[in-house]
Amino acid sequence: MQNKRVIHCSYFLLTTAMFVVGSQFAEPPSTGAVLPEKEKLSPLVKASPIQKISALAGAEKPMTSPRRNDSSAVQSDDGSPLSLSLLVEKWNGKGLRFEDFAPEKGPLSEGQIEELVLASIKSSDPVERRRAFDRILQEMRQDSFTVEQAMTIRKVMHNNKASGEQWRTFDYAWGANDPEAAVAYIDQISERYRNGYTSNMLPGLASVEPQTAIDLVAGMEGDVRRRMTGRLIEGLADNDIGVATEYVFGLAENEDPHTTEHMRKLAREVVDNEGLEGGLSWAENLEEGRLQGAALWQVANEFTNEDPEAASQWAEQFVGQDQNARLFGEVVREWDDREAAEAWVASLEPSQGQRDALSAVFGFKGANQPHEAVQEIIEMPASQDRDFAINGFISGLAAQDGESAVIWAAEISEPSMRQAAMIRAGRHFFRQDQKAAMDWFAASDLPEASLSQMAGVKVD
Amino acid sequence: MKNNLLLHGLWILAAILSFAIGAKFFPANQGVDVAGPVGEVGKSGLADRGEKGEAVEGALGATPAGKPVGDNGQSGALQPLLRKLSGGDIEILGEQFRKGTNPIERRMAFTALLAGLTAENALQVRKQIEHMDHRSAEFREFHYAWGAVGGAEAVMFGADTEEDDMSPALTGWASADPEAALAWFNNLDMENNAGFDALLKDRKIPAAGLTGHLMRGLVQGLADANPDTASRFVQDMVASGHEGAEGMIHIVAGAVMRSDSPAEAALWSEGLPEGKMRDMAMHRMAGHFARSDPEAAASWAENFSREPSSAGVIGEVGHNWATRDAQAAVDWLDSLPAGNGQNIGMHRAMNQWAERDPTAASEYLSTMAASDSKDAAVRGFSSRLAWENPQAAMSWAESIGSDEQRKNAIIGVGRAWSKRDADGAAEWMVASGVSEDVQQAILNPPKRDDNGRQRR
Repeated sequence: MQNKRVIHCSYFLLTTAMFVVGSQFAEPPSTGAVLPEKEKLSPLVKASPIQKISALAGAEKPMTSPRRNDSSAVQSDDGSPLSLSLLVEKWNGKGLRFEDFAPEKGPLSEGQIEELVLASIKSSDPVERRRAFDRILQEMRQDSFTVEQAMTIRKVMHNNKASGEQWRTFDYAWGANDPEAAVAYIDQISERYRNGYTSNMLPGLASVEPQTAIDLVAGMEGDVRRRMTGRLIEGLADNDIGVATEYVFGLAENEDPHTTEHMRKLAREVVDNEGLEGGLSWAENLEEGRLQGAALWQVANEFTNEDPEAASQWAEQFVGQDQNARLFGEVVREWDDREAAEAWVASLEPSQGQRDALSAVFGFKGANQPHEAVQEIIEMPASQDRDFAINGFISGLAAQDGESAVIWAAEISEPSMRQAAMIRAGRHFFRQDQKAAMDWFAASDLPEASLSQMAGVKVD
Repeated sequence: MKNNLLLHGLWILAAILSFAIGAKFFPANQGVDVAGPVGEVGKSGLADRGEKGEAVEGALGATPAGKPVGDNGQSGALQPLLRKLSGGDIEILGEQFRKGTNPIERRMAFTALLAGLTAENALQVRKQIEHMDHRSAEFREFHYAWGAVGGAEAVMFGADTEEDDMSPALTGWASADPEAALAWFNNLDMENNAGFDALLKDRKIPAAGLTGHLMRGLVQGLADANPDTASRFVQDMVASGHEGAEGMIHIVAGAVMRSDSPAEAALWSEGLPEGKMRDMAMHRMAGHFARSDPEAAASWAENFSREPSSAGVIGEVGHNWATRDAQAAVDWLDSLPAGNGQNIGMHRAMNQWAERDPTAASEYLSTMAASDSKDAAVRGFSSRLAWENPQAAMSWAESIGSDEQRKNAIIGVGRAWSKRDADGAAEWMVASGVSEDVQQAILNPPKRDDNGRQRR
């Protein structure tokens, strides 16, 4: 009797244990796809990222391992063969069961990836679209994430016309989570998409492997290099503001012609990442000089947009520092309350910054109240202030009346400023009335070479 | 002995069955939502933050309370999170969203906020996103999600803010509970509702304009839930004389185009009740379909080649097909029965062909027999060529058989010529001997309003 009880109890325990074990082995019920065990994935998984990408993109023998969801072998636009069961399909409405895709259940299968990507593009519910795509991004952070999975995501995104924002996010995430594979893919992707892909992926790469990203950009040339440098700076700032700052100062040392632009880009990133206070503190503590001027110029923009009064008070500490003069104009340009901006400029002590601000005041007036501006300029005595006022005025006026703008530009007394202003206004004039502009140019004392700058024609 | 064996056998069978039942029907972790966003943010940032990390850990283990997103029957993304975000969690996620060091972290933090949104914590969550531009996806999605859980309260919150948050909130509400949102909208009496004073009296927004704005949000939400409900609503609005209501079918069409294949979307538009609204929807779908699969779109469009009101469908397919393969497009158009659809299609296809390969296009025109469709084709061709070679374009325009078509083509080419080379156009006018009214029409093109539309 005692024995029988022990036997029954043992069997009961065994049965209960089997139930628990069974539930642990359960598959996600929705997709019908088998969760791929890592060792059962295609042999390509063991290969290096470069080999894997080459193979998946068709450069080597395409993968041959049988897969559950293979329904048809498809040749995609860029020639890479990949078997996908869902290419361009109808999305069956809301109702993705996110619990079926929980990370605890293991790596996402191909079918699950397809379902998630499809939902992220086609669901009618924007929150569902976001969550589905986030689950993909989450998967990319797992150690188990493979190049095969990345390629599946790319294919489904491509075939279902994922948005530019989704591409930017995916490429960034790939660069950040699998730098080697993401860099290798640059050589595999079709030329048509190469720059776009690199531009998206680069900041992600730079956020985790700054030096790799810097080296990559160093190998580029011309305008592509200039654009990619901007993207690189974004990623470096995501990694470490100090590294990014050092990089931009290095560009200046190497006489990169676009350092002002790059410094302003970095300043925007710093404010985005660190907030306005962090951005102000960072810019104020940079080494004095042209680059600090560019950084302050940009943070002045952000500051004025947030609180113009406070920004104007902050700016006053830089009165008398010629290298920082442009931030004064920026405060004026971004200040919504024109009267307050003008009153502030009038209160500034004479300096390069004050003149830059005055120029910005007249730039606004040239575009919006040209008659009032003309009257004020006429009443001004010949002076540096007047030159700056005219210089700003024609910037605002030229887009609507290039002919008047070139006449006013000739009124500037300082020769180099006058010539630059005439050329700037002349560009608009040539676009508006080429024949009249040619007549004006012939009668002006501008050098022959300036014609190409204004008319966009080559001068022999 | 036999009994013993039977007993053991039955127990073993029971154990195997238990395994199977467990595996099939009771998967572990079922019911646990994506630890997804919250867990991920914790991994990427929050968990590394010492005391702040503790707060989140505690919150993640809490039992659900309050009304989680999706309690009102919403499925999918708005399923309950099964975890309630504490005030501390919201602040931490908000900080992460604003200052995360990379866009992925910021994104995950935002999703975690949405996933933990309830009617009760919505205002606190809103504080975390209020720095965003009201046109940004995040700002709109937050209000969409709030509308889904908060209904009228979420919508009316926007009556006192500067930003455009009422419309996305109404969209979210309508997507989650179409009937309630519709009833609320249909019973709106803004002028006698003090809740709207800030908008109508202080900001002086016209009631009709605000109604139209909210209606667009409502239609979007209805379309998210069910495009047929949305199109029926638009139809009712058209029938009740709401100005511009027909145009809202574009919102529904957009939702259908997102979810369905182009062929299915085209069929949906075809199923709408006849009228201007259906024409607009079919026109839109024709372009969408033709960009994806011009041959299939052409087969579909052929069904309407005799319907005068659907001529735009043929034109849209012809135009889009011609951007890929102009010869195939005009061959198809040539095979259609003569009529307005064929003419519009020829006009648009030849206009496109003239841009891509004017020589081949002109050779094709030379082979066409005189007909209305040839006149339309020449008109489309010359109107494009006028910007490259106005003299040649004018010769083509002058060759048109129909008096009215010829006159219109000459005016069109003349205007382009005047813009491109005023002196040359003036010389031609003097030498050509065209009538005074044509000369005046060339020299005085209709003005355009601020939206670029021609003033009548």
